[in-house]
Amino acid sequence: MTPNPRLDRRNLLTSTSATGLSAWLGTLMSRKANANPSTTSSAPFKRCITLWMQGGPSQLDTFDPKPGTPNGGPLQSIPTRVPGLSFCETLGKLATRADELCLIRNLGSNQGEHERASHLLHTGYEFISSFPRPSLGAHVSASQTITDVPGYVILGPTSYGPAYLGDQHGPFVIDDVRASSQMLERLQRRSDRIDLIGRFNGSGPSQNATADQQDRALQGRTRQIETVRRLLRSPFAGSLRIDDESPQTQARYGDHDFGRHALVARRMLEAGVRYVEIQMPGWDTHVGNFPAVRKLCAQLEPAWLALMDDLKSSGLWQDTLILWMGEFGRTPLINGQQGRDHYPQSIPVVLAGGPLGGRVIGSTGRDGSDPTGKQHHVADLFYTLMTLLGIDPEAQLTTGFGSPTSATDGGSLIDGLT
Amino acid sequence: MCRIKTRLGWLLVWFSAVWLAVACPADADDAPIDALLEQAHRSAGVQARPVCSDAVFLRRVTLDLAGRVPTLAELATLRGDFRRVAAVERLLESEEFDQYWAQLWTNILIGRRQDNRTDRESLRRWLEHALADRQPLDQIAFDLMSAQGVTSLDGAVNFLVANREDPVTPVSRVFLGVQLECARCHDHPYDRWSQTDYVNMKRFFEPVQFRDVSGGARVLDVGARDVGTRDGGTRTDGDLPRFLTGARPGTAAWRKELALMTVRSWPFARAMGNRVWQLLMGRGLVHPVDGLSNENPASVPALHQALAEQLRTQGFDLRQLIRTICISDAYARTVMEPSDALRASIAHERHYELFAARRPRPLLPEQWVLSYHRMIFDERLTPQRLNQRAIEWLGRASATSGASDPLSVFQNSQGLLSELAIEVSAPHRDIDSLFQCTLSRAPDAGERKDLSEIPSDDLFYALLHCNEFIFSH
Repeated sequence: MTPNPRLDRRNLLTSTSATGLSAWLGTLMSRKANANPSTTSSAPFKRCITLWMQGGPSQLDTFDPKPGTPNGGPLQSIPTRVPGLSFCETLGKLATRADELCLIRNLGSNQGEHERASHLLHTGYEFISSFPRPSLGAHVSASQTITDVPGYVILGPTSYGPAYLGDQHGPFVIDDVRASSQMLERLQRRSDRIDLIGRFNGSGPSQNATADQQDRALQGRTRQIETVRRLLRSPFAGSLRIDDESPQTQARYGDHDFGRHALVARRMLEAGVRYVEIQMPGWDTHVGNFPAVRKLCAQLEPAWLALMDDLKSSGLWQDTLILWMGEFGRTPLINGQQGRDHYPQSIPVVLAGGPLGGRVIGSTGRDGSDPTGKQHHVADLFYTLMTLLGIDPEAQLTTGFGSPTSATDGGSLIDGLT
Repeated sequence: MCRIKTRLGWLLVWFSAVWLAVACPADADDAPIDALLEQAHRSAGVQARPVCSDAVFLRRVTLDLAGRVPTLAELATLRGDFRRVAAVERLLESEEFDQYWAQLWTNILIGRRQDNRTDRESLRRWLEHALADRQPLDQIAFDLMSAQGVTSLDGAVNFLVANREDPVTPVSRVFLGVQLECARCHDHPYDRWSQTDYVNMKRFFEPVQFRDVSGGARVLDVGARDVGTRDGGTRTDGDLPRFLTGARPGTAAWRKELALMTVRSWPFARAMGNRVWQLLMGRGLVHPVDGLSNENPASVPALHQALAEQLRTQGFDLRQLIRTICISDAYARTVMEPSDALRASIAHERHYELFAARRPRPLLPEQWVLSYHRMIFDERLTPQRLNQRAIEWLGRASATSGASDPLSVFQNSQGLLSELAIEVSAPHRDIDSLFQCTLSRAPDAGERKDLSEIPSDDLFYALLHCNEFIFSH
């Protein structure tokens, strides 16, 4: 199927970088055919920044407007550089950069409850309390060598854990950047006290307790203290200090939580963090959807643009994946309170970074509720994201209680990326 | 000859039984922990470590029963006529015991995290009252499995609400000591539990309904007869739930029947005995604590059974079982000396499996927080604050897992950072009091000399975070 008649495959693959991606995925496919699980270090992306729209963003009032239909609402749509593609006016500036974005419009699930759906879109699996699943960030952290900085950071209140991948791959959760920054700096200033702990552990009668060389817990604690000392010496604490950035730069990202978090996230990627998630609340727009989305986009857009610009100038753009999504989309139908309700049938996802730009995959139809062509499941999204990030989605893993499982809940590559 | 020996043996048993009945009637049915372990040590060729000093004992038992290190006042009792039984008794009678063990059991039942429908504190409060009222363990378990009502008022329902996705797993893990969840998806490769067992157990919960009410949820049973049959036709025996033993409910009160079948079964008594043993000894006779299987039997099966028998003959009296364990020699074994470690590094694990030596074990987050708080502020934390602090101490990402083993926690580096970032000011100025209030011992001559120059705040800080404090040994 061709979701948009003017957007065919050849159109998408005009840039050389896009060809590069396609070639790489092609290699991967043949590698799979040869059943030779070798290193995936040649994956297009080394790190990822997730812009998580908590509550479920309205696709119609952002990247998938339906002007002139009863579902369209009062907001206007404006054309983009990509032929046939329009964005909602709420993202007017991003529209001029649409050729740097990749839209996925044919993704859906059956999960319409916030917590469950958030779990699904973080792990690729339905939530079962007795069977915790690792989040994508934990997979990214686990797929790379451990460094002095955390591999996986969440900027926001909700933690998505590492499950059986091990606690060292869990997220470093920062809800309040300033408080965390002050805490780290206080510890840096008092590193002499932490050295004093080392003195206690290394000698004296407490040696009796540590003499048991077999004991993992004791060794673990000593090692953990060492990890923290290295973390305190690493550039991680410094990356939280946004006041080191010029007022102009801070202004580009915006004087609000999302903007500050995006700026911190960029600094963290530069410091060596592999996966950062920024949680942006407020997208659960059951009431008064249109002014709410307009306001949210006014914060989202400048920070996003600043992020893309800065990643380009620092050279990280080529191998940093930007992932924009929430737990589900919203109903095309506008409810009695000028709001939109949960709509898991359509989960808008936008990717950016490196060679991905200019792709539009799938269609939600004329009025947003009649998708045509192949529909993808969340498992397919995770299969695709892991592939892009150099994680083998078919790897057999072992859970904490020893049963085998795989990285994704089945799934296959989303058509249109190969 | 043999017959005579046997008769003599019986006579001895009879005499000692009579003597025990006269000397200490309450303890007549207590599990013979040390005798059984001695047998196990002998046949394994393992040399048990000696028992610890009163000071070490007091620190251990205060941590295990009150959830904190002993205060200077409590340590002062060591200088008088200190009796271990009396110390255990005093702790078991304290409110701190009810509060701390309610916190522990809440962690076992639903974890530290709270979802938006569960009222964690309501469950913890309910458990605290049950413990304070001396309710037997089988009654508590029965109530948890069969509870109905509203999350905010009827604390026990929160067990089911928190585990509403999959109640079979926690019921089988906590109350039967087996992990049935592997059978969710496939027949267990080594064990007798099959996927059918899991499905049949799950049917017990089919009549349960959860309805949202303001500020929580309401749990009620719609009545088994309203639950649809498997293929919409007339109900057959195959549509009824089935307990692991094969029993099917005889009435429509399926959940109550499940609760009753569970608490009357031997696996329940063994699982409870093993839980209490693990909480006090740091390791289950079955290890992991909820992982009994053909492949993973108890390390000392006779003791596993004896603890279960004690619970059944003594009406599932939790305090009596704690008393029995805490005054045993097994509880008081010392840690390995460096020389032991060199001599027997391979046999190490065996020592721990047979409880011939104490393995130093990390304080639980609750223990660290309670100890710290008591030292600095000399007042108690509210249970909600305690849980919040415990989550921060672990690092939020680590605290979210809902494992049923409260001892298998891991502090991540974020948790350690927040532990290290806690502000301290020394509650005492002299080195002796600082050592006593943290490590429950006096500094030795070397330490006194080495550490004399260090400001008391810095010294207190290092004492709070050093391995000797962080571990219970």
